[in-house]
Amino acid sequence: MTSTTRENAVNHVDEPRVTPVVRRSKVDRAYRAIATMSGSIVFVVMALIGGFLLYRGIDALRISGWGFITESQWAPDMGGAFGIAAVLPYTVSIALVALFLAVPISVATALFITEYAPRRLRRFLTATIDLLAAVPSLIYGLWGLFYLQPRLITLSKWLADNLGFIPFFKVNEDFGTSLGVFPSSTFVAGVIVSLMVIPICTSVMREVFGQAPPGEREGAMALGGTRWGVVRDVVLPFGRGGIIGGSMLGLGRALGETIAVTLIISPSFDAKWSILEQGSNSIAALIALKFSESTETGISALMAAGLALFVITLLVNTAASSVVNRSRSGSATEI
Amino acid sequence: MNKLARLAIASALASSLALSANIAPASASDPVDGAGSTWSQIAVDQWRADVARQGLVVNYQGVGSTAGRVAYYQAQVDFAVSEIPFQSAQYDRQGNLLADETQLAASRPYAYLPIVAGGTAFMYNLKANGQRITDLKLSPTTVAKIFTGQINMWNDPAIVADNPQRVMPATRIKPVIRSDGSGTTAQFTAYMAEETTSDWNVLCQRANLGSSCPATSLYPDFPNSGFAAQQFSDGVANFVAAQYNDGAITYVEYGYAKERGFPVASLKNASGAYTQPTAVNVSVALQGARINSDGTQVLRGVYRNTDARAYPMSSYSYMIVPTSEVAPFTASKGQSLSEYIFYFLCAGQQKAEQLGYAPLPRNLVEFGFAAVARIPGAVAAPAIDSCSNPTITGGFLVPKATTATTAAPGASGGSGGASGGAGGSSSGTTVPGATTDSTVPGEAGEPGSNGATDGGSGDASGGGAAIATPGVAMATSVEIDTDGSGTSPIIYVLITLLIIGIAVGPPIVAGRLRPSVKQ
Repeated sequence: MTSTTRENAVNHVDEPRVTPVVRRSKVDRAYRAIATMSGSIVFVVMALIGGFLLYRGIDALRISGWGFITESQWAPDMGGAFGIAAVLPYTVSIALVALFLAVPISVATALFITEYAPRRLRRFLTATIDLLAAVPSLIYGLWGLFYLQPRLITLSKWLADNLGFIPFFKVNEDFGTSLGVFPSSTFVAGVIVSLMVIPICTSVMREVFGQAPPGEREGAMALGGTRWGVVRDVVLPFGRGGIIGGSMLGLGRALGETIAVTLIISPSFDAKWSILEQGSNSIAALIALKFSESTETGISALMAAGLALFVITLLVNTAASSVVNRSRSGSATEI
Repeated sequence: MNKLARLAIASALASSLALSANIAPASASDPVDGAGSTWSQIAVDQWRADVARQGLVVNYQGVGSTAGRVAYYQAQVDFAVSEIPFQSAQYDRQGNLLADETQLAASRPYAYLPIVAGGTAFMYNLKANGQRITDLKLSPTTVAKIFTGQINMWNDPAIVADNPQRVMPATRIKPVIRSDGSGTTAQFTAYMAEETTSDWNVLCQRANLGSSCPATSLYPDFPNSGFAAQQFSDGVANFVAAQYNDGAITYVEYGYAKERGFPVASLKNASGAYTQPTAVNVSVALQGARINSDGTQVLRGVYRNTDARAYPMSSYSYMIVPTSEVAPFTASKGQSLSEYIFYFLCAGQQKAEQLGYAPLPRNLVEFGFAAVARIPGAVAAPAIDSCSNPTITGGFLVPKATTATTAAPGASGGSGGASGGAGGSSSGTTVPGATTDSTVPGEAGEPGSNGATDGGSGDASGGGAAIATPGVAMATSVEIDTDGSGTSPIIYVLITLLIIGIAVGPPIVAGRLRPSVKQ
């Protein structure tokens, strides 16, 4: 390699004289084939899932037409109209409530772990966060249902009583303001989903914060910066991509969360602003609830709803991973 | 979560059984496969386990009634279990044909037979002056109006008219429906579509489903209904039982209310008496079932049974069995299937009550026998009198003539304090710690008494004969749990903590023990 370069330099010839011939051994080739195959399986599976959902959902999409996007009711089994105009906003609002709570906590936790915690505690906290990410969502759901839900409704009521002038916290007076209005709301579901999202967000953010360049960090220290100064001027700007990426990954998980949401919500098909009031929904929960007793049309409609969720989650995750990748290469830093 | 676990186990079991069946096809009797109702699954699984001891292999997957019927006409299973028969043609609003199950199923001739019976109970959580009401009475029309959003307050004149014995509180009614597809919903809506048609049609219109609609497994909700929807029988029962849900009412199997110590409403039957959904009352009502020429059953005779003990909202689920050898069915499978059916129609029904259902009465067993006779390869039916079904042998059902004593089946259990229709708000409300077990054998009302509203002696099952029968003792009194929450949440939380402990503990301990590495 080196000798070839030198010869080229001496003779001023641009074309390489020797065409490099790559000879791969059998083992090499076999390994290459297997690796390529495994890599492409991901794409094949993805395409198959999307194709299957489209194939099964197309019948329902033909029946509903554009109404699938504009209709809020869901009665494909009874010959009624159906669409995701209510279910999708509810799905997104649960995810947004979850992120609203999870992102600040995750950023703070990640900063504490990387910047402030003593080393022994750091290891312990990292392990705990990773373990929390591994707890099945059913466990979160059960705990949320039996422990958190009855306790959260007092907070819901307080919010409704004192901050009721904000449209999100307003409660329809028709149904009274007793505690019974609050348990199956977007808010409660969102809080429980946020618990599942926090570990994921924290893991991503911690990793990115930990990669803040030591040179700049030490430089800031040397200039007499406080620890908070370092965090503000080095770690946070460098980790901006990580914060966005982690949040987006969390959003992806929050959108698709099924069991915990199904346990908490009382499915509703009329979209409303209030997040405290009984009645919410999510596409994943809708599929889980309706699947067993649906007719052929109903199942087709559920598949179409699944397709919508699949596309949205795919977009969110793709955006997230591209942001995370860019931040890892350090391009997000302005130094 | 119970259901999920059951599903997982059932499917794992089914697949492993299917595998082993492939390896050794020449076993004593051919295994039969079924799918369908989750409502009936507890009983079906119990009976499967019972006959498995005799070498009879029956596989069953609780995938839901609708999925069961689809699996039947798509020839994926040998039999299906469903709460509602095959549905005739349905159209969407543009008039396009959605599905015509009867036509799809025509390629695979079938017969219906009754499998398990039960009543739709109305569990409620209602307090007046801080004390729980336990003797609520409702007429079916009132129930239909509540669950179609036409009655919103507990002190509505219609409810007051049903409950002259007390002052109803001005609490808002919160109807709780099932958010998932369910056989209970199917049975309840079938009743409303048949008996309280005009009210049911109101719901159809509000839910934007046209001027009328058929019974359904998925309860139709409508915008701003104020209904709450929860998943599974466990879910609705826990929701109603929650302390903060004063004013909630739901339709659920009787057993779920009993388990939580909550009362269920007494329903007014055709004779004007108010009855509880006990196994006896359900079996009595089902004696009025008649059969159509096409094998579907007419429940009007059940809903309008004039026996004073009859619980009007009684129903049963169907088994759909093949009557031809169209693949995958064979005569040798027919033999296994018929043996299984004879087991559950007779001896199996002894367990019905224990499992939370009601035993099928004699007339339905006879319908079942007639249907089995049409299965290819079926073994001959046993003589009806040798059938060990408790309604045939055990004196579980006392003929009407001898039980005129139970003409006052009105008040729900625990209403021992209600006397003479006094209207005091506390009368009939059980004082904490003093739960009355008013079902004393032989002490059920005065002979010939018609005072349905002031019969303070508890339940219709108070007939001495029913209680005296070994093995079918009735637990009719409703225990009142004063703090309103059962123990189950605590147990769930403990289990959850234990699991987390098992998962989290070892790595943490290991991390602590590992010597710290210098960076």
